[in-house]
Amino acid sequence: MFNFFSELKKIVEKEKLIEKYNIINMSGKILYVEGHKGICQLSKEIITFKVKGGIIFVEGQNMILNELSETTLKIVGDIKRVEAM
Amino acid sequence: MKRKNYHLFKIKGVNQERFFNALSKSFFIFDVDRTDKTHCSFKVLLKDKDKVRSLIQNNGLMIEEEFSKGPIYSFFKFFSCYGILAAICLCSIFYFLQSFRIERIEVWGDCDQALVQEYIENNLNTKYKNKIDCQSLERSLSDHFENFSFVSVAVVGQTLVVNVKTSIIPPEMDNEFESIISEYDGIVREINLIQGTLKVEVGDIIQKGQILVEGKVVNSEGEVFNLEPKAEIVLEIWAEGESTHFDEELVTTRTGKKEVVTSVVLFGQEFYTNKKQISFSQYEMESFSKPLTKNNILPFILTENIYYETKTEKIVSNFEDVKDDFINQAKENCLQNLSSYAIIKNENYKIIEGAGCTTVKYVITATLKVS
Repeated sequence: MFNFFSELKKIVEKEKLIEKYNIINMSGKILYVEGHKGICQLSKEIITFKVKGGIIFVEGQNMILNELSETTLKIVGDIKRVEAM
Repeated sequence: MKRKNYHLFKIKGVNQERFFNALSKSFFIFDVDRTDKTHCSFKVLLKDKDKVRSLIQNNGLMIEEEFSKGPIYSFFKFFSCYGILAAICLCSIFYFLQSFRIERIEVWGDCDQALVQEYIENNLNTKYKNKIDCQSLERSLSDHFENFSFVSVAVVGQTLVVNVKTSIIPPEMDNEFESIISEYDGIVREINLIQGTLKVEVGDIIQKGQILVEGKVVNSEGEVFNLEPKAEIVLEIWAEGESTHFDEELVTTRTGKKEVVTSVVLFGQEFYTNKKQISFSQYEMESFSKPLTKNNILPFILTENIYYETKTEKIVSNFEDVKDDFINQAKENCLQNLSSYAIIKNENYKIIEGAGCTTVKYVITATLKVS
């Protein structure tokens, strides 16, 4: 099956740099994350979570954590800003 | 992906992020909705609910509410409703046991059904289907009711169906014979009597329904004997037919446009309809209805009303232009009143003119052999 991230990795030379985490923002309504290391803050307006080498800050409205597993999560709502710190 | 089967927890407590991080290591969590800092709801898979519950309690959180939903949950919950299960089992056992018994007796045929039913009820020594001897019951019914020519007994479902045919006694056995009767108005032209009493003579004018030969003979001692009347009588008969032409006539015809209104009826009450305002100012309606389901539990009936638009036109015509058509129509009407065995001797017509109409009268004279 075609894997978008795997294909992307093949064409980038320094693979190790992009093995930390993957984030996909779909039209500001769905945010899919691979490689998270745990949630730091959870509310309808702000969700923050740890990734390898930093923290991701997601700001929005009416956000819920639609799916949560050990390494992946999916946020659904009106996503205004995604910031890596 | 929308998950239909889940267990929802509503929890209360602090430091929920740490709890979710711990929980997500072992279980899949979805729809985490944090309403405020201390209250939160989330869903887990049905199979994980017991382990998640114990984990919540171990983390010092309080469960405010929890419930399961989904078709799989409903299916398994059904098996924990012991009352319903017991009722289904009891009904099944009762249905199984009573399926061996006859519950109804139906008598078909042209006979006194109540009398036959009463006889069967009195003589049926068992109600169990496998113990009923249909053949002996047939014999018993034939012996008891002498006027039965045919008796059939069969077990259909939980019904004992008795099919009866009564014997038809020919009129000769009753010593009664039908007289020969004229079916037309006419004049008697020839008579060849074989047996019976003649009621007419050659040259007599007779009317429809008049007796020609009676099935009785009186001997010299005045005794009356019944016998089948036999004779060959030739009648001269006549038949009339007419058709009327109107100089001005209003004719209603369909334009070809139609509107269909469908409705579903249950126990005489309209359940659903797509009724709309009929846009036709003049229309004819045809109505059809048929059962929507084949069971008797909910007898839905589908009714379809078809409205055909019509228009009325005034047609003006001259009789002379359509004269031949009306003469032929009058002849056809006349032939319909005539026997197909009649031999046509003469035919003529006359035209009567009235106010705004013209009538064609057609008369056919024919001979007919009655026997």
